[in-house]
Amino acid sequence: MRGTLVITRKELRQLFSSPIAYVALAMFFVVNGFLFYALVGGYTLQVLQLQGTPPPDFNPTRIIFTPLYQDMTFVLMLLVPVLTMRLVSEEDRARTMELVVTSPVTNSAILLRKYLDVILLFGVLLVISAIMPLSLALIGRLDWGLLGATYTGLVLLGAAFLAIGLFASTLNENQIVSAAIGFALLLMFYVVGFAQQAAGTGGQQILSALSISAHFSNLASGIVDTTDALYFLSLAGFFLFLGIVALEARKWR
Amino acid sequence: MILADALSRRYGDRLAIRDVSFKARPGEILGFLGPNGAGKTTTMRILTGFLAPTAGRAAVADFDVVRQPLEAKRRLGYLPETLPLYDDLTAREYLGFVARLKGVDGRKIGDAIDRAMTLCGITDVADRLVRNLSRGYRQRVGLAQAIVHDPPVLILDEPTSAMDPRQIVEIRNVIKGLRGSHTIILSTHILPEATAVCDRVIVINEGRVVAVDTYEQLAARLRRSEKTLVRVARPDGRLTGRLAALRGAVHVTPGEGTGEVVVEAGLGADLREEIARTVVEAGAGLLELRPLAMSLEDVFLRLVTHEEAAEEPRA
Repeated sequence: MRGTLVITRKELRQLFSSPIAYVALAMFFVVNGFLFYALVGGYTLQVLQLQGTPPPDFNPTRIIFTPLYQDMTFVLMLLVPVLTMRLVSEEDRARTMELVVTSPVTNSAILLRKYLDVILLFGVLLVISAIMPLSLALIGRLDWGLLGATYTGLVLLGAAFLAIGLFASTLNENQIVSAAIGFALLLMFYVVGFAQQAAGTGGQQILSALSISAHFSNLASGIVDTTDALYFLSLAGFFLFLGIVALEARKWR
Repeated sequence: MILADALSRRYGDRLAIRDVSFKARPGEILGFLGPNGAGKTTTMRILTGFLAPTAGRAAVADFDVVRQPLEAKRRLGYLPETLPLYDDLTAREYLGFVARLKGVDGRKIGDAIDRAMTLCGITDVADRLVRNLSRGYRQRVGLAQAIVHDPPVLILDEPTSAMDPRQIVEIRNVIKGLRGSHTIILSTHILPEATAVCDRVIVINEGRVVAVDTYEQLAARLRRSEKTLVRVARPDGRLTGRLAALRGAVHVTPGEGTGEVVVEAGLGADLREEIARTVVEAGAGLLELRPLAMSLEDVFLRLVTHEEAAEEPRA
């Protein structure tokens, strides 16, 4: 773990030495802030129309935060490739990978460390994003169960996204190309559910089982199901495995 | 200490090295000499475990680099041809990162960094960003990186490239200071470097080992004749004739400078006394008389061209 933290400092230093990290993070917070503002505005209108007599199933958390975090996954699809693109690509370009690979560490350790680093960074993002519900908690009561399920979903979804982005970064020494590959893979898993109508009944089930959005919406609506958790974890595991294979294959190229 | 046994490496259709075998004895500095593209870097990358060999076996400190990579890598310091530096760190931070990566015990890291920095003469730039260092200092930070964990085996790919002559001398002294306690392979295409630093030289060309020996023995083996250079004040054609007539003289050719004549004799023959007498008797005014040693350039060129000449008929 000590080694991990050391690398994290180096990794963070490198990430924040380029303006792209600031641009990406600014984008993340500005877009989420705007969505939050718009959703709170919409909620206020709804409350005014109800004139103080809310129906029994009226849940402010569901009205504001469920759509907010649904939209946030889309923003993350754009942000994650930017966070992961340089993890391996930049080391390849700067030829520092030759130092890392010839050190007494295995390829899986190299990749897992980078993965943990970027997960930590992602965790910090999520913690900062929690300012939005916490600010409303000051003036009203929130559905903490629903929020907890949603954040569990975000962590799982982030773990899968980051593994996909990290894998993309092992393929190419050009960061931009790595980001593009990462984005393309994420987009594929995202839109695969959209084709459900076109497929037959069997196909529908398969496509929906592969779709990121379908699994996340379960969690974002408060249903914590091991199937969804397993989906994200196996997606993460599979792409980490592919990344390790990609590093191993370089020796034989 | 370092073993290469019939190593071959293929990139697609191209055979980068074939059947490369050699051994480095403990404590020795082995020079790896060859033109660019000869396969030096490929061989070194196999020894460090960066590339897997297509065929053959390599071992560092008796650990097979393919079967026991971690054990081999633990005992290895490597300076790649392209410096593996992180521009956003200071020299000290960078060495700290490498020390941890190489598995140096946490409490000893500070001492390890200081030792490496002192040896490589970079203490005065320790807290500057690597990005802002001059090429010479960057090279030295690269060398410090290779020795920070005090490995018994060092593999240095072109350790003095892009340095000025004074820095080259300094780095060579650092490397020579490691002799005995470390087994070192260093590659270079700068020939005098091999004579200045190395105990033995491996000459590699077109992916094959052409010769392995000490420089003196390589030179002796390739020398086909004894050459003596004579410089006189008043050269003329008759002197050349009289020198050519000496018993044992095979060839007499004009030298590069004015008044210079090169007398070639059979291997083992020493004509210096006769040459001196002849020149004095001719009244040509003897200014200089010395045996011409074969420079490493000559040795190298002869080995490499010899190899190419042997290749041609088959092609």
